[in-house]
Amino acid sequence: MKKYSLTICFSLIGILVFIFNTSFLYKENMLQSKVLIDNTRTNPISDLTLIYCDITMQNIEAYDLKSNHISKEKTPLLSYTKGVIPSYKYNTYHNLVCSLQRSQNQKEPYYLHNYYEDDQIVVMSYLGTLSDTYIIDKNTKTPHSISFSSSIDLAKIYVSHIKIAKDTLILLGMKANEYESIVYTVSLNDYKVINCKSIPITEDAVKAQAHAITNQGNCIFAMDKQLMTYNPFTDQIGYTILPFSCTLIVPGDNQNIFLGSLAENSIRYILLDDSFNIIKTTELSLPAPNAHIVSLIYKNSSLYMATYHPNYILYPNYISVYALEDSNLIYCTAFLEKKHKALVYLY
Amino acid sequence: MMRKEIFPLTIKKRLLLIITVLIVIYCLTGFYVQKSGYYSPPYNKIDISLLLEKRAFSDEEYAILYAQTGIAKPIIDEIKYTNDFKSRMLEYQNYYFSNVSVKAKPMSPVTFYDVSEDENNKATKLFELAPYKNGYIFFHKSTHTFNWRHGHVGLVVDAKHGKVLESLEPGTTSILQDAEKWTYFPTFRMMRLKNTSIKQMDEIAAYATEYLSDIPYSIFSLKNKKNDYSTTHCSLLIWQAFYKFGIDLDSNKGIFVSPRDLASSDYLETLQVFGVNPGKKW
Repeated sequence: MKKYSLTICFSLIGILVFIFNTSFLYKENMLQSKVLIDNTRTNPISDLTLIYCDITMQNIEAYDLKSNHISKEKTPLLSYTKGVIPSYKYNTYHNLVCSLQRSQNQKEPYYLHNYYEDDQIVVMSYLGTLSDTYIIDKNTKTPHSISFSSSIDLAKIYVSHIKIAKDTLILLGMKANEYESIVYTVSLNDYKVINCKSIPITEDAVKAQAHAITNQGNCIFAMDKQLMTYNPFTDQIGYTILPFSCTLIVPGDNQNIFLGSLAENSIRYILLDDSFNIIKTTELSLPAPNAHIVSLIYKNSSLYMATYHPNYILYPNYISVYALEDSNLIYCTAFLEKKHKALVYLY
Repeated sequence: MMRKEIFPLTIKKRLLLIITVLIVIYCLTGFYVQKSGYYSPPYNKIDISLLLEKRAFSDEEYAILYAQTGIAKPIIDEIKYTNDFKSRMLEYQNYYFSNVSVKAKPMSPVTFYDVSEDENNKATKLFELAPYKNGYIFFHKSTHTFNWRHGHVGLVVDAKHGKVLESLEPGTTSILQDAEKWTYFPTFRMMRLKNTSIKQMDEIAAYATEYLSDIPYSIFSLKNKKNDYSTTHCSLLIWQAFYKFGIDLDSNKGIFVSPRDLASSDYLETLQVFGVNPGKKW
């Protein structure tokens, strides 16, 4: 009896732990998709990556969409405010920034808000002011602070977009507690601020998808039925009147810009050229009604759109590809439900 | 012989008995914690559309709207002249009476947070936040440790960009989080200081952003270190922000301040509730 009572006791503990911690034991399901439309000769989504994560933004899964199958990315990822980054990259770059701060007896930054990387540089933008954004030279692995004169506006900002244009770094930030943006133009030769511009904007333009930086370096804002543009190289502000209000801005990898307005079953859109002249106005059909836009990418004259449909019957997520020249849906693949995680980014 | 009769159990058996009793108590409190994860209105949803056509309400009508939507008088007065007042209030009502099933998820081996999941185990958004400003305080009761439903609290510091300052958990520092995150928890209460100007609340929010960000979390941080910002926790951070301006939000004035202590403060008024008893402060 003595022997069995301890066994029973620990069995009871085990059962109770199991009951209260069943989430440890759920089985993840693999991502499954179904191609619904394919009017292309090549698979247009073969170089895309889908990012899924749970509500804590700590359990992240990345899926590469190869030509004929989906493969799960093994590299651990870490989330920051505006996206995800491979953990090893974050650790490397963050440590470089911290070492710079330590060498200057400055406080180390604590929360990565935005990040940019190309072949030459990495930009790590932490919560705070311009002083909390750092540039890392990838060739020399040297971190640099951005230097500036005392006259510039050093408000707390959320850096929403980072772009390199004409060998210059452009930071587009939203001022904390204001409906106002700040554009910093930084030389990549000496990491000094060349120009700083504060621009009042509307409440709608503050939203993440309602402003952007074009490949030419122009900062653009969707403000009701007009597009406000700012050229940091000429310090000129311009306006383009639009036929309808847009809430989505996607600069293309060519010179054009896609502006969209989401409706229940479609997206009305406007295409602009690099001088902000309207090329085209029409609409695109959505793969299913009541879509939430997850991500938009405009490249190779095609619009790639990831959507989420909360009231779905068959599929919660779709990746749709539109040829914008003739506004046709040329490819559409649906994704089955992913347990415990939601599609949050498309890269 | 007599001692053996009076104390018939050996030490081993006593230990076993104590462990068993503790497990039973833990289980019972666990069942209570599970049951207390969400308050569903025990009354029916009624048609308030005609009532919403009015723009002036009696105290009784404010009470009806509060009971039906979770939106209190100050917010109603703020939005009643907007074009979409009726549709917004009806939306709040729909959320307020929606079916919510609560599931506990582990944050750590001993701390859990509640969410509501759909049939595919995905966390779902449960309600819309009422309009909020800097200095407003967000509460939920959806976290528990060792079956103590302690909840969590945060301070709105940038309403224009939807940012709330929070001290989250051990191993983190106090940080800005998105306000929308709170709509995924099955319990929520929005409160603010009574009779306080927007300017002063902006000052409190600005102070918190400047001096209470990036502070390491410690559950052992006590109120007696009033000017020591070396560590903090969720409710202490809020208390510190307001105490700087001479407002002691700790309702029981103990050395430790919890979300419940803050929510029970007479200095605060409720603006919105979801999943909690509107008739109680906690």
